[in-house]
Amino acid sequence: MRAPFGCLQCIVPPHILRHMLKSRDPRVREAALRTLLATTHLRAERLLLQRSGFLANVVGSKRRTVFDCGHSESTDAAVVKRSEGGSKSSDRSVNDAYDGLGDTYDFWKAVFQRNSIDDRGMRLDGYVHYGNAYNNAFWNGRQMIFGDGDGVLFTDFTGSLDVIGHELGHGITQYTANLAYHNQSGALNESMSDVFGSLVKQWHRKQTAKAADWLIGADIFTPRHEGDALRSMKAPGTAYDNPDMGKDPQPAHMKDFVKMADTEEGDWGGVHINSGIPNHAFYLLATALGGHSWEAAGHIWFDALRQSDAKVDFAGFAAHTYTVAATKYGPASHEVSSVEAAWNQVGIAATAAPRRRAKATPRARAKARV
Amino acid sequence: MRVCLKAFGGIAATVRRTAIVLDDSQLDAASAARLRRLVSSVRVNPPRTRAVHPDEMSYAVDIDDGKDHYELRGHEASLTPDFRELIQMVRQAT
Repeated sequence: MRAPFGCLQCIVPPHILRHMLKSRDPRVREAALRTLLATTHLRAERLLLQRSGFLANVVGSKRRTVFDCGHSESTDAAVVKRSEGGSKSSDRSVNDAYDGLGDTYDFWKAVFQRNSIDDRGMRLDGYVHYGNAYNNAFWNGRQMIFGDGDGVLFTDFTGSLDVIGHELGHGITQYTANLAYHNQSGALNESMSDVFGSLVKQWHRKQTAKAADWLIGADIFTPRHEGDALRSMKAPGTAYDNPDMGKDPQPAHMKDFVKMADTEEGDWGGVHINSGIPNHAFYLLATALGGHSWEAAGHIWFDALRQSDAKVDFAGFAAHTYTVAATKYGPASHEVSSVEAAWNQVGIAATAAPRRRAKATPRARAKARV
Repeated sequence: MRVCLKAFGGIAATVRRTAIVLDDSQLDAASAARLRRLVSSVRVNPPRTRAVHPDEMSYAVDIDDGKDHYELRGHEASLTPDFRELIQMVRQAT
């Protein structure tokens, strides 16, 4: 008998509900009464929370939820397995995703005083066990999706903190510069996620730039591929080289920039390939400055991202890093000269004026002509 | 009917991937009929086109049915149920 009136609880205004209390039909009267009581209860609860100050603390604080897709390739029917403050699950993937989301949230809060992805306390939703032997993790614009890996090449993608930091980094980019996922701006989008993913891991481990491994995805390979990673920021092009995976194609310098088609086949202009160039520039800056990478180097990079537009290219972004460093530390500072040197070593001239296109240094241009 | 599945993108986009080929002559009659039904369904009802999400996988399924040669494409988060089933079927049968 309740079903036909269930929907009343969400759409019917109070004056109609009060009118319905006078109905001759007992079912209508009962549903209206139930709805009014529930609404009154919710209103009172909200008032109490507001007066106690509790609601202000809830909104915008860390809110993680981990869902289990049950090997389906749909998130619609996924089941909640752990939510904020909930006890540990018996499922390791659930706990790893929960902890990784938490470490990433804590990193952004502590280092950049940023309140989640959107800086407004956005919920962090992770979906584990997506698909069967699914070899990927991705950010779908609102949520993080994790595959279990095929067990041959890749293992569970929740097991890597830098991968989780990388994917949530795409969310940060989406809510800041919203870098277009094509060509150089797309490679910067990928590079930003590698930088943030590596910083989350270094911060969690309390490592200095010198002590860090600068690898992305080293933990998602099965023991068969021990030692390999998806990318190396320290030495792009050396992360892997074996018959199953092929050879890491990332360049570390503009002279080796790989021109690819802006299609699926061309990785949208080589976004996962040419990201090696700005990745290496960040590594060079962080190690030149020394200490913790998330301090000066991380802040220069993130502030430059916030100043960038969606179609910024490598040279334009380099110019923003120069401007940020000069503003923060002074034009004659060690930070500014280190920023210039880092970009110069990857074949990009960093100057204060934004450029339309990535400009290779004269040496790189001469080599490219050969 | 010959079906060739290629996958692109993902966080491991640069890692080597090989195309998977399935020929309906390798299948029993029921499976071959199911393959043809899925291909036909995806062709009539393709996934909506939109910009790819970062690290999202994309798929291209190349079809050669003896008379016609065409391609079906889609991104992971917007695949139709039949497109997903087609991808699963090609993967599992080979």
